Amino acid sequence: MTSAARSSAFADVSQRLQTVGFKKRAGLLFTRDIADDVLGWLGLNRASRHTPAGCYEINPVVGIRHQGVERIIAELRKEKFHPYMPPTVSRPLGYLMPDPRYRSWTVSETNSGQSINSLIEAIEDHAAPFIESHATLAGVCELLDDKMGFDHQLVYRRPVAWLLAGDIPRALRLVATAEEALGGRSDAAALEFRSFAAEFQRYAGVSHTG
Amino acid sequence: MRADSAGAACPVPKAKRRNHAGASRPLTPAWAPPRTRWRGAAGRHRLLALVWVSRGVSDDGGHAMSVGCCFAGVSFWISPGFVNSYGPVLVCRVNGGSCCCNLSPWRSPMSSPALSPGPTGLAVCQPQPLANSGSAGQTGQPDGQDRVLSGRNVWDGLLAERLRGPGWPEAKTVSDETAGQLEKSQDQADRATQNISTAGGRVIGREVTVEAAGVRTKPDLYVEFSDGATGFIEVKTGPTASLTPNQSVGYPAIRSTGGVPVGDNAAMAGLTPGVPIGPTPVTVVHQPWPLP
Repeated sequence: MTSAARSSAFADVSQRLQTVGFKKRAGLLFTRDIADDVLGWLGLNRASRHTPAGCYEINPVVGIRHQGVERIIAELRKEKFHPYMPPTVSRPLGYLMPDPRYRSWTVSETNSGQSINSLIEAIEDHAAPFIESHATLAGVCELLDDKMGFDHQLVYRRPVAWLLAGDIPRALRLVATAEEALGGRSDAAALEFRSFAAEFQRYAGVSHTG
Repeated sequence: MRADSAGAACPVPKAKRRNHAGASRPLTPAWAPPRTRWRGAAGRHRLLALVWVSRGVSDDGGHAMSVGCCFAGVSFWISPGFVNSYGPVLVCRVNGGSCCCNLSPWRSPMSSPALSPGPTGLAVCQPQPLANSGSAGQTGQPDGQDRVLSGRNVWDGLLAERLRGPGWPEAKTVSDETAGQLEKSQDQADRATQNISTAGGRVIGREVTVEAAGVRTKPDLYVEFSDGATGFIEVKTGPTASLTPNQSVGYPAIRSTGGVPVGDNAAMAGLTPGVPIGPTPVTVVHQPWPLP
């Protein structure tokens, strides 16, 4: 698929998603306002290796982003808050459909119309209802406990979500457990989490007394 | 209307000029529309006949001439010289839209762009509706149509004879082998995905770029195993497929100290580009397994 055809196909997807209420963000990221401080999230992860020349495989990833949780994480990690990246919880669309399994949509020059139609239909029928049914802090906490996402990201989000939900002892336990699991690791990810854990305990102490 | 390089007026918008000297593409008028899509000319034809001549240099160093004609909003040109001089090509473009029919026995009528040469120098495409139900892809081509296009009543001469002789079967064989390899590669990647699902795991990302030990690698699959652990899987198709130099450096580093996901595709998968991940297993899977 030449770059012009690819751009055209992706522009088509983008336009169709916007007509069903998604807002286009950078690249192939889309969000949808679903509640106060909660965004629906959709990323079109792509693969082109192991596909015939001219074909792209799209792995749509559905997520929910709780802005309150993400603001606290950014503050504790001493980072600038990003308005839509990453999602608080996420999972590939195929696992949200009946008969959960990995599903991808292949777009090529000869079938981009059909593929795009099918993709949009799946998003409307399965992704949108899923997002809307978990558009609360309680819903997000439930999905976090269900480990919906990448573990190295969930270790930050689980304690913060429970802190926001008011269950501070549980939040502190989650941080302590995750820190203990690091053991003697000294890689960059471990160092960052230890720093976050220290900040979280200070923050939780202030929140508890505050 | 604007003038093209030969000075003749042409109703088709002027595109960026190209330097054909040493270019890998054959002679192409500079204003060639980029892609082939049939949109239909919506009544904007002009009763105008124009003829122009342009000249360029093909990448074998030869000079080629093209003669163009524009009539009733449809422009044609015939270019007798091409890379390796495979023969004449008739190209027609509809003003206000883009329909292209240039001739080649090498490429599928379903493929485009109009003047992009295949490995043997020519390209073919046909006007087709946007919602096309064909699924051959760029390497699949119906024999029948290519044989028609290379028939004596369509194209003749020394080069045509060469094509109808050893040229076509050789090109077809290469094309079929390539298609077969690609299909096999996709089958093996699909098989890896199925094996993960069967084992109770989940594919959570595809082709996520990870920076580690100063190099970037892009494992095929990011998976979550049934016990909740995560890992990367690199699928190698065939018994002799091996790691690239970057993979040889990057994968051990990801296993021992982790890495940093980077790039758009990482973000689309739900990761945070720039935020490190800890030590993560990278498994290289050879398909088919067991190796023959």
